[in-house]
Amino acid sequence: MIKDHKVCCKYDPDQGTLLGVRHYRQFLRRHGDKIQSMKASKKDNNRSLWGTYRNMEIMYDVIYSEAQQSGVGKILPEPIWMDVDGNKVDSEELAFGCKVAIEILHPNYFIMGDETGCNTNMKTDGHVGGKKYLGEAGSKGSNKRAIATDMQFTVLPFTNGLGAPVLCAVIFASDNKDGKIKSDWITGIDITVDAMNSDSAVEFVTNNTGTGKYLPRGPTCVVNGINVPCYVCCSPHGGITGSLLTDMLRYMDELQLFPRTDDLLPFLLMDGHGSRFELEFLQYINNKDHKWSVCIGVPYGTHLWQVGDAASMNGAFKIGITKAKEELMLAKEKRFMSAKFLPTDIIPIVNKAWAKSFANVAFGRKALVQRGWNPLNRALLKNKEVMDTRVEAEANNEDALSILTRVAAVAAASGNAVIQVNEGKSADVIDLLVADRNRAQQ
Amino acid sequence: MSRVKRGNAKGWQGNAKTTTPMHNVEPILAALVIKLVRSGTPLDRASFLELAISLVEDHQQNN
Repeated sequence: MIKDHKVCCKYDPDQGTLLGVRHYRQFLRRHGDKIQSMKASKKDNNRSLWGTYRNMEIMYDVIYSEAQQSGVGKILPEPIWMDVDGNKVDSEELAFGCKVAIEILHPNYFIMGDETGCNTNMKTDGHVGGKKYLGEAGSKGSNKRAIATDMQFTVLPFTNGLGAPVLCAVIFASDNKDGKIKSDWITGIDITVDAMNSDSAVEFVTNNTGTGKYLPRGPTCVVNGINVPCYVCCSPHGGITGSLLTDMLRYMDELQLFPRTDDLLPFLLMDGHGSRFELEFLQYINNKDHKWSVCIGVPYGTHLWQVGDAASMNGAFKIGITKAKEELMLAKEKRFMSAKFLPTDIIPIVNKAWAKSFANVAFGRKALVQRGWNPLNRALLKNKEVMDTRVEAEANNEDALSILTRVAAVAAASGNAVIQVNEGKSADVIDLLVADRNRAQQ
Repeated sequence: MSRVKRGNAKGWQGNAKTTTPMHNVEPILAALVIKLVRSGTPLDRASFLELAISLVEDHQQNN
């Protein structure tokens, strides 16, 4: 038929390809409501494999059930619709996410942790929202000075079900085998603040320690009226280990942030990093003297479910770190100081970024609602990226495979095939789609 | 006879009765393209045309 059409249009049907660029353009025009030409954004293969509707559904089932068993949540007599502010509403249109079957009774016992790796090296920093600078015409880009001192550190914020920060833990990279770090690393030194002179070292430290002072210390959180100072520790590579994570839980327990009762345990939600499976950590959380209920979310799906990965939290924090480093570099230049970062600069940098990200309760609250953690609304099951992987829903729609099956059945019955999928690119595509569907069903 | 005289001034775009010979295949092609996008393997122009040709090629030879 296509060849006939070419003959009608006075083209040589045997010259060139059967379909060309013109068909591609007209196909896009005819199906412009569904398909458009656009740039591809690369996505980690594991994210596609794990961030599926089925996996999210299982995660919600298991975690909600555990939250209820730990006493943090309570099963409602009847599932209800809730809006973004956690208020009961009458219809699905006014609600956010799916129906809520479990209500969170103790959001301050619902803890989420997520580490974020940082480096003082400014060369690897992003562009802070695509910020542009003026440059000379004809040059490739305007050169900007950057300090390239490599110092890895990790910030591990713990937030609760109210969106409020519970603890800020900072992990330095240090080979010190006893795990001890210098006191000025812990307090940090804010070079933009002048130190108050004192007669003795003790007096100097006392007078100059605190928020906004020469030795500022890391971010302090307030939980149920208890001040929780920043927890500072070190590891050989500046990353989290099972031992450090255990120490952080112990630190919170020693401050009595979560008094246990017979039917109430603190509930911790984390990602599947190896440190969560180390024996020391498992022994600590299962010890009846300080038991924790710990759940792991879908691996490689943290971009979807993890509160700390929200753009308003992690994104804002990373931008804050970049800006703080730039400000500190300028401050060093103004004071004719050496243009390199020191370990004592890390805490002031973290302080600035923390205030604009994890310390913001409104940001935390929004991230919780959008991920289905308070209220427990299974919000991700309505997320487009997750819904696209829903196998059951597609079976009812005009799914490509079901259309092909139907066409093949009609062709077999009439003996007049419209398309062929037995060889060539079409056969490859069908194989690919079948494999993808099987993977999603596993 | 010009296209204006035939009442088809806009050519291919303007004639409502003129349909692409691919009209039976295009819904399937569109569904396949969407399915491939969702599975993380979007097609570029060359691959799209390769797929479209592959879908109809054997049928063309039979005819």
